[in-house]
Amino acid sequence: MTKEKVPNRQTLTSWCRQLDEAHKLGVRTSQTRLVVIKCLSLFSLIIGFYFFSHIAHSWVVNKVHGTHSHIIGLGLALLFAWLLQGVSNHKSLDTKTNTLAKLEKALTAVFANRQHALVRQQTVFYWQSLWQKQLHDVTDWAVEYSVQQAIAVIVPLLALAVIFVVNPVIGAGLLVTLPVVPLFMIIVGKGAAALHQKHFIALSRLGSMFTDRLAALPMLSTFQAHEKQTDLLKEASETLNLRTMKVVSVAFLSNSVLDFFATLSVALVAVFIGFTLLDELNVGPEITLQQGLWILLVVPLLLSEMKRLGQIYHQKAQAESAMEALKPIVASSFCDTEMKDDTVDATQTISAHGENANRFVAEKFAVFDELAEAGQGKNAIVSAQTLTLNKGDCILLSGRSGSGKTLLLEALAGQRRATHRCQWPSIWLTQHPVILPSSVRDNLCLYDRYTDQQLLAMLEKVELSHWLKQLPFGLDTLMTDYPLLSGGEAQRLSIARALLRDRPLWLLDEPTAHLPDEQHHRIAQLIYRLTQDKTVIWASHKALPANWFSGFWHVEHQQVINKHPLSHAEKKEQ
Amino acid sequence: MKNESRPAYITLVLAVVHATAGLSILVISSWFIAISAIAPMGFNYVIPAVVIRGLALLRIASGYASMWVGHKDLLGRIAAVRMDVFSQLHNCQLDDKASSTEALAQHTEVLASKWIAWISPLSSVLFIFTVTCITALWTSLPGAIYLVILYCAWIILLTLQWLSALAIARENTEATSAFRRASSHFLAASPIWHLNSKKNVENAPSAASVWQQQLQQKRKTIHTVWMFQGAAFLLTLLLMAGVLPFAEVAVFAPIALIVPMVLLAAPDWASASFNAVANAAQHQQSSNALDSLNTSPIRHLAEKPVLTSLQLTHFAAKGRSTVPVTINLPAKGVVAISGASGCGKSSLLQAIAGLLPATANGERKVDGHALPEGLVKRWLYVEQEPIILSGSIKMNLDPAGCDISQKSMCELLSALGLDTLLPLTNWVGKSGRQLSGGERKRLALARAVLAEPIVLMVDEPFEGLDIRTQEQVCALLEKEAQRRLVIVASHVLPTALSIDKHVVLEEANVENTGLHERQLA
Repeated sequence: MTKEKVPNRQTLTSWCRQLDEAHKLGVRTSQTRLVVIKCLSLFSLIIGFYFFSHIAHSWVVNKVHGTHSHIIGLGLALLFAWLLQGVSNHKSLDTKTNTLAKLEKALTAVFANRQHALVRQQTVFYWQSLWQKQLHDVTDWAVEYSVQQAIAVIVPLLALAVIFVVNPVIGAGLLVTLPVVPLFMIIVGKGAAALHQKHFIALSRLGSMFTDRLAALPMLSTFQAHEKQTDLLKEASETLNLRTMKVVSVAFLSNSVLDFFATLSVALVAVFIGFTLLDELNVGPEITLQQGLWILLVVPLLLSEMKRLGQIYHQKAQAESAMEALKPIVASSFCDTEMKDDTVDATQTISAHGENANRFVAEKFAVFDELAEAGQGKNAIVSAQTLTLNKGDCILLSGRSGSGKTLLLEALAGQRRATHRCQWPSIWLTQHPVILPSSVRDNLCLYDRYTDQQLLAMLEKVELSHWLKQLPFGLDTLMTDYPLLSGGEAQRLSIARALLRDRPLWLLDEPTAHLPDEQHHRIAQLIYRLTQDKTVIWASHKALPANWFSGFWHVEHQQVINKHPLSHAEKKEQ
Repeated sequence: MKNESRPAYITLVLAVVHATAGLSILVISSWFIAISAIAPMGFNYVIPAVVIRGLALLRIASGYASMWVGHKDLLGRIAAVRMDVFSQLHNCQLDDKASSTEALAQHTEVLASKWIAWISPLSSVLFIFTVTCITALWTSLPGAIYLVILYCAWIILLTLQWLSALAIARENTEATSAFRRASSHFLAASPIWHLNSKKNVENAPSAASVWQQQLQQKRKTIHTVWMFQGAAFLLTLLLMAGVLPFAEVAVFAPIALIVPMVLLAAPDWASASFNAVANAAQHQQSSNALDSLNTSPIRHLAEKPVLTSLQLTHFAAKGRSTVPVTINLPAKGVVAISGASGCGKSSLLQAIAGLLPATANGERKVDGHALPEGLVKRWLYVEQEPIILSGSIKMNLDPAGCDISQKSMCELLSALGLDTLLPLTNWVGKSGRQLSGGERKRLALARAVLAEPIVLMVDEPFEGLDIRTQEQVCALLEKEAQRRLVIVASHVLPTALSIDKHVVLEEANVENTGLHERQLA
C-alpha cells in the first residue's frame, strides 16, 4: 500500500486544489481568468473617474463644456468597465454550471464504485443534501468567494498606486492612517469569521433543537408533552438569543471597523482636499480640482471590495462544513487507484498457484475503515491469514451480528478498501430485497432486456408463477410504494432477478434473516437448489444443513478463521 | 402565517439613515471640493467640513446600530415564528419526515429574516431614490431630469425582476421536489446497483435542474444589476457630454456636479434593492410552503381503562396492504405478535394505539364498547426506532414534566442494564452522547413504563440486544404485565419471555388484501 499523507487539518484551499487536480475541474484557470477580468473592469472604472474629474474641472473652474477627447474617453472607459463586468458575470455563472456538472459526475462515479457499502452508512436524506446542497456550496466558494478574496487584495493596491501617483501626501496619509491592506484583510477575516461562526453555530443549534422536537411530534403527542416542550423550546431560544447577542455585539464591532475606516477616509480626504484647494492647508504638492475629485472617487475602492467579501463570508463557512462531509467520500475514490495496484498482487497470487481463473487466494487479507482519517485508516477492521475460494465452492460465513460478515463480503466485491478483491462478477442478495415501485417486468429487467419467456421461466423456477397469475396486469402490474408481497415473495423476486444475470459468484448476506422459520427453510432450500453451479458465500446465523457447504468461515474478534464443518459455526444465535 | 409579530421599524429607520448618510457624504464632499476650487468670497468652509465629518460619524453609528438591532430582531423573530409553527402542530404529525423538518427550519428562518433580507434594503433604496429625485426637481438641480429617467428605469427593472424571480422560485421548488423523489428511489435501490453498474451511473438522477434554477435566480439578479449599471453609466455620460433634453441650460457651477456624482455612484447604492427582490421571492415561496404544510391531526381520546378485555374485529391499519385481524386480548399479561417482517406488526400496533387510522370496518372494543378513532390516553406505543430528544436523560424519561421521582427513574434504568447512562443529567441525542440502537430502545421503553400505561405496546424490543439484556427486558415486560396489558411485536421471541397469548400474523398477499379490486378499479 502506498501511504497517502493527508495532514489532519487540511485547509479549504488545498483541499479544493487537490479536488481540482483529481477531477480535472479546471477551477483554478477559471479563477485566475475571473480575477483578471474583474480587475480590468475596475481599472477601467478608475480611468473613467479620471475623465469624469477632468470634465468636472472644465465645468467648475473654466466654465466651459468638457473637451471631446475627455467625453470620448469617459464613454469608452465606462463602456469597457460595463462590458467587462458583463463578461465576468457570465463567465462566473458558466464556470459554476460546469463545475457542478463535473462534481456531480465524480459523486455518481463514487456511488458506482462503492455502491451499497457506502450508501447504507448514511440516511437517504444525508446523501440528498450532500448531493444537492453541499456540492453547490463548494462550487459557490470556489468560484465566488475565492475570486473575491483575490480581488479584495489587488484592487486596493491598484487604487492606492493611483492615489500615490496623483498625490503622494494623500497616498502616504492613507497608507499610514488606514492600517494597510493586509492588516485589514485580517480584521475583516477574523471579524467576519468570528461573527459568522458564532452566528452560524447559534442558528444551527437552535435549528437542530427545533427539528429535533418536530421529528418527535407523535411521541410528544402520545406523552401529552407538547406544552412542556413548547415552554422548554421557548426558554432555550431565549437564553440562546441572549447569549448570542452578547457574543455577536463584540463581533459586530470588529466588522464595523471596516465601515469606520471606509467612511472616515472619504470624509477626511474630502476635507483635506477642500482645505488644500482653499489654501488653508499647505502640505505637499498643489492640488487641482481634477486631481482632488479623482482621488475622492477612487478612495471608496480601497475598501468596497473587501466589504463585498465580508458579505459573502457565509460561503466559506458552508464550504467548510461541505468539505468535512465530502472529504472522506471523494478521498475514497482516490483509494481506488491504490486498490488497483493491490489487485495486481492478488492476481499474482492467483497466477502463482497456476490456477488463475478458477481459484482466488488472498494471503494476509485485511479490510480497512475508509471513513476514518487516512492516517489511522490502516488499522484493519477485519483480517484473515489466508482466504481460499475455488470455483464451485459453497462457503458458510458465520459470526455474531455486527462481527463484520457484511464488511468481508463488501471487500470481496470490491466495494470497500481492502488488500484484495475477487475479480469474478458477483451477485448480492441482502436481508431486505429491493422492490422498485415500477412494474414486475422492470423489477426483473432493470436496464437489461429479457424476453417474456425468460422472465416467466425464472418466475416459475422461484415458485412465483402462482403469484404472478393473480396480478391484474401480469408482468406489467405496478408494485407501488407499498408492494403487495410477503417477505418471502419479495426475496423470491430478487432471486429471480439475480438468476437472470448469469454471474459465477453469489454473495448472500443473510437473505432469510427476517423471515419466520418455515419461510426461511423454504427459501434456503430454493437458493441451495438454484445455485448448484455457482460459487456461493452465504452469511447466515440461522440454521442451515452443514452438508450443503464445502467450507466454513467464522468471523470473531475481527478475524476470519476457517472452521471445521462439525463445529458450531452454524449454531442458531437467537 | 397568521401571527405576524410587530414590524421592525427601528431596523428600517436605521437602515435608511445608514444609506442616506452614505450617499450624502459623497454628494456633499464632491460639492465641497468643487466649491473650494473656485472659493467664492466669504465662503464659510467650516460648516460643510463639520457636516461631512458629522455625516461620517452618523453613518458609522447607524451602521453598527442597524446591524445590532437587525440581528437581535432576527433572533427574536426566528424564535417567534418557530414557536408559532410548533404550537400550530400541537397534536399533529408531519406527513413527510426528514426532509420536511429540515425544510421547515429553513422556511422559518427565511420568514423571520424578511426585515433584514429585503424589507429594509428595498425601502431604504426606495426612500433615498424618491427623496433625491423630488429634491432635485424641487430645487431644479441641473440634470435632474436624468435622475428621474434613471428612477423610471429602476422601477421597470425591479418590476420585471420581481415577476421572473417569482416564477423561478416556483420552478425551483418543483425541481427540488422532483429531484428528491428521483434520488430517493435511486438511493433506495443501492443494493442492486451492482447488477447494472454502468447503466446506473448513466441513468442516475441529476440535481442539475435544481442548480439551474438557483443559478437562474442569481443570473437574473446579476443581469438586472448590470442593466441598471449600464443605464446609470449611459446617463452619466450623456449628462457630462452636455446633452441636455428640454430647455435646460448648462450651468457651470459646483452645484452641477451633484447629479452626475449621484448617477455615477448609483450602481453602488441602489443595487442592494435587486438582491432584496430575489430574497422577497424566496420569502413568498417559504410563506406558501408553510401555509400548505402537510399535516394530519391526531385525535385524542380520554383515558380508557381495560377491565376485562380488548377485542379487535377485522382490524388493520388503513392504506397498508396487511391482513385484518380478529382477536381478543386480556386486560393483563403478555401478548406476543409475531410474523415475518413486512406483514404489518408495527402498523397493527400503531393502529391499536390510535397513531394510524384503522380500516373502515375494523373495530377495537374495550370491555364490549367500541372506541372511536383516535389516540387513547395512556395507551403507549414504543417505536421500533424510538425518538430520543436531544436533552438530558431526565427530560427524555419525563418529557411532559410530570415530576416522576428520580429514584424510580434510576431503579428502572438499572433494571434495564442502562446504568452507564446515569446520572440523569447526562445529555443525550444530537448534540450529546450518541446512543446505540439497543440503548435507545430501552430508554424509550423506560419512558413508556414510567408513564404508567394502561396498554403498553412494544415494537421489536429485542433486536440488537445480547442475550443477557434480552433477559432483563423480558423480566421487566413480565413484571409490567402483572398490572397491565403488554403487547410485544417481534419476529423473534426469546425463550426467556413467558407469553400469555401468541398471535401469528398472516403474511399479506394478493388474495387476502384485495389488490385485485383496487388495481382494476
